[in-house]
Amino acid sequence: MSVLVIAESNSKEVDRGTLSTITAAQKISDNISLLVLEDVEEVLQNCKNIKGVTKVISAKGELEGGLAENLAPVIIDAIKDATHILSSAGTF
Amino acid sequence: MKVLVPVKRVIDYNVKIRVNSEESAVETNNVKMSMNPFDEIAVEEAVRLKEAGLVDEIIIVSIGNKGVQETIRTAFAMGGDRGIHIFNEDNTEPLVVAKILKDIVINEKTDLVIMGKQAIDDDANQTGQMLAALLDWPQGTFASKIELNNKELNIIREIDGGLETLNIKLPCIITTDLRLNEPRYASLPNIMKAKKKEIIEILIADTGIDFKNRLEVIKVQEPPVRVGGRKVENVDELINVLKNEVGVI
Repeated sequence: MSVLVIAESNSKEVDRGTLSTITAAQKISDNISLLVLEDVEEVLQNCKNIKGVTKVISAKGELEGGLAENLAPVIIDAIKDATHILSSAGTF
Repeated sequence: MKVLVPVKRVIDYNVKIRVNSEESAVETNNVKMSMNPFDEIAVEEAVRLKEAGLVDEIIIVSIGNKGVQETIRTAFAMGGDRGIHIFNEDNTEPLVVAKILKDIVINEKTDLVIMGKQAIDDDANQTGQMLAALLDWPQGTFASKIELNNKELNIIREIDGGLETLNIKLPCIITTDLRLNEPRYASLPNIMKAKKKEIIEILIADTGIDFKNRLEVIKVQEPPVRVGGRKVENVDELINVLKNEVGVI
């Protein structure tokens, strides 16, 4: 089993909701991938250091303001290996 | 232009929620039901667009048992024109709701769907987004202000760090946040008129959509009762309590 967690980030770090989601994901599997929907080195570095995360996936390229319409295809691409997808219920 | 407003019948927000004796669900027998507050805001917004001459017809949809017709009538009294009732005795999950709404949107050729951001009973906050994905339409979620001009909409969204303004093209989905407007009270003449408006009833089995529930509720529990604090006389007593009674040190 593997879990994909969709991270909510602000060009610096992921928000607290995402951290809670990662903790919840640990109850399902030890194999947790974190999908970061922005290509910022600082965020990615911070994500690598989060306890419990085994893999960080980052979306490269322009995602136009993080609109749902543009992010959804990227997420669909990333879920191929996952058995569970988790995200926090934010206004993201 | 036609606008579709889906409404959900939920336990009234003023009612104290009780869990049934089998702990399998929330008690709904003999409990006051009313329209989900976010949906009321959606109806109000649609009526305002109609009053401004930007919308011709407001179609109200609700899914559920016989009782939801009362909720549709409430929406009529506020200004809805025509109703569709999808009959399902059981609870309908968000994905099924979204699929049903998709078919209605296509059949009725509506250009705009305004709906509550979430229902206060299950707090799913999913149906609007799912509907947008199924239709491949743009979405403006958590809207706190809408400006419609021609075939474009400016939507101000309430997000964590402040406000975000989006410009989206019709057709689209809008989900309403609390600050979008203050729903009106229906006047008596309008309540009387609402009784005459038409509601089409369709059995969920006749929609051709697989409506089987995929989630199983294992148990419903009330939150643990909160115990009040108490005063202690001095530090020694405090340490004693922490050590021997609470056992934290």
